[in-house]
Amino acid sequence: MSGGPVCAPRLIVMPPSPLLEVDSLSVSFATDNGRVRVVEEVSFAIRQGETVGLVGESGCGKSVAAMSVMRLNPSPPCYVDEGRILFQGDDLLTLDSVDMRAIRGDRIGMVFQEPMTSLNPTFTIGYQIAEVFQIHRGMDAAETQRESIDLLGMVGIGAAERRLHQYPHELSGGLRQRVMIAMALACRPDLLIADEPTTALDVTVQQQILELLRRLQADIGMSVLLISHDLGIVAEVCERVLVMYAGRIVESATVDALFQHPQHPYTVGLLAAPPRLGQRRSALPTIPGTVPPPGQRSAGCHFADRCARATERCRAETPVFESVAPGHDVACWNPAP
Amino acid sequence: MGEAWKRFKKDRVALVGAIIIATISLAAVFAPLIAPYDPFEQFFEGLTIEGAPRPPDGEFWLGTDLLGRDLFSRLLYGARTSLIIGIAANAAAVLIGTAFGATAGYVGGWVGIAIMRFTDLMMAFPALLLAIALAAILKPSLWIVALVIALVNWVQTARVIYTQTRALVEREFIEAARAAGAAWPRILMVHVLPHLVPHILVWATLGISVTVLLEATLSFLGIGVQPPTPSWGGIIFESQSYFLSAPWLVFFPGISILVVALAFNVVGDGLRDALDPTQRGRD
Repeated sequence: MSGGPVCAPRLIVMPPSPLLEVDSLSVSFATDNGRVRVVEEVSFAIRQGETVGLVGESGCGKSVAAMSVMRLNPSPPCYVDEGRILFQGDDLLTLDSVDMRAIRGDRIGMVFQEPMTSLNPTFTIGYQIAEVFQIHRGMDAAETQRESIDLLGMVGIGAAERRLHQYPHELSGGLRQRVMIAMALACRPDLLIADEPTTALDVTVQQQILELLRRLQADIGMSVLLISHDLGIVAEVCERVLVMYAGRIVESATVDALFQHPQHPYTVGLLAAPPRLGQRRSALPTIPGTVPPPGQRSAGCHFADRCARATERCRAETPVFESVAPGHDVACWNPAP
Repeated sequence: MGEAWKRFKKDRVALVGAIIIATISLAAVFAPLIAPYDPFEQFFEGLTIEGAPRPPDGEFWLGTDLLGRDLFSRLLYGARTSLIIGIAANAAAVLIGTAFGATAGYVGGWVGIAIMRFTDLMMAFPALLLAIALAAILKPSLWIVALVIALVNWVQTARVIYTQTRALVEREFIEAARAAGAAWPRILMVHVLPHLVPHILVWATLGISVTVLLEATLSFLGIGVQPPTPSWGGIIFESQSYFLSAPWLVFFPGISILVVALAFNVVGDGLRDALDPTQRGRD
């Protein structure tokens, strides 16, 4: 196909086209005080085999954005106002519910934050893994059993045959999260969305789970969208990071670029915030102020009120998401030098 | 299921209740074999010289009624009526209640609001008046009485099941099931329903006592099962004006109703504890 100007730009995207492309997604919630935007014109893309981190504080809209990809936000009260979510060429937002269900758990897997409550307490592990195969593959019992044992081995659970007959409450948190990961990977998805997969686990288990995710990502060759509020975790696992603040993506860069040359003042503040071992300081560095709640966000840059570098323009105009270096985009009128 | 039974066995009171229910059910089933007399036969010697009912004695164990019929035989056959209505009417009520409650809870939105406002309406309306109105329109028979009771009694179950479903739908494993691509009928049947089973069973047993009492009330008011078919409430209704001169006519059916209602209540309580699905695989 020629790249002539008559062609719509969509048709001449550079190969390889991304696996997932979220294009100016806006999501709002209906509240008693009217519609409140929680995700504002978020755009990002994930290539085949890439691991992308989505970081931000609690309530910045990162989970809502990720759940929109799965179309699992309850509606009402949650509505997608505009945008497109292209996954392997299909716009997920226009699919009917049958097609969408065929994608969930098959081509897109999801791991939740709370392994303690994400498994149904009334069924054995084996039954719950088998269910995924039943839904998407229509396998018989023997085949399911074989696949389930393979799967548990893959996520590093020993004595798989015995584990299959156990109930969730008989397993530790780390084991349960492994089971959740096994279920999410049962159909070898092209994309895994992990929503704070290690937040509820203690640090050593957290490390094991991250290790596991990284290994599986390499083995299966899937893409991963890792949602976290912990930059350390993201730095460890991801190739690229999206920083979200108050419903918008403010910076997108490779992990190295982000840690070495953070451009957005919010990212700079985030990176300065974690205390370091061995450094005694009277007060921990913080970003002054709090995240403006949805519905009370001003015009212009949402971070302007907390930003030392804010100018008149920041309060008046919404910053444009622009490239400052190859593969490094920032939405800021006055980025850090 | 075996573990639930083990837990149930430890509950002495519930076990006694279960034995009472089993005994009365067997007595009702084998009434023709046990009953010393035909419950419909009016015995000449069943009345005193003055024409009054005979008090309990060796010949008529629990005495006779106003027409000289054997009260013990009538109570045995009455157990059939009361238990059939108690079980059938309550099963129907629980079925209707669960269907509406679970649908309203799972679907939510306008459907849920509509169903729940309707149950509010039903609850605000005196159940007995509604039952009387329904029973008056539909000519009373055993099954019509059961239907009337079911139509009045499903609301409580619907309420409870609705609340439980609402709480369940918010649970993360339901969201996880959705994320795994499960369709709503599967989620409702496989993931929601097993968690409702304890509540359903408790209502299925607790409700029976309510149903037996309501049947007794309807029969007492003369719009329940029609004579000569014996029913416990009906026997009290027939004899109410003679309770001073022939107290056994009110006392024995009254005791029967009380014991059955109590037995189903304690069994219901026991089941609730024994069947908690989160207790599976424990201890």
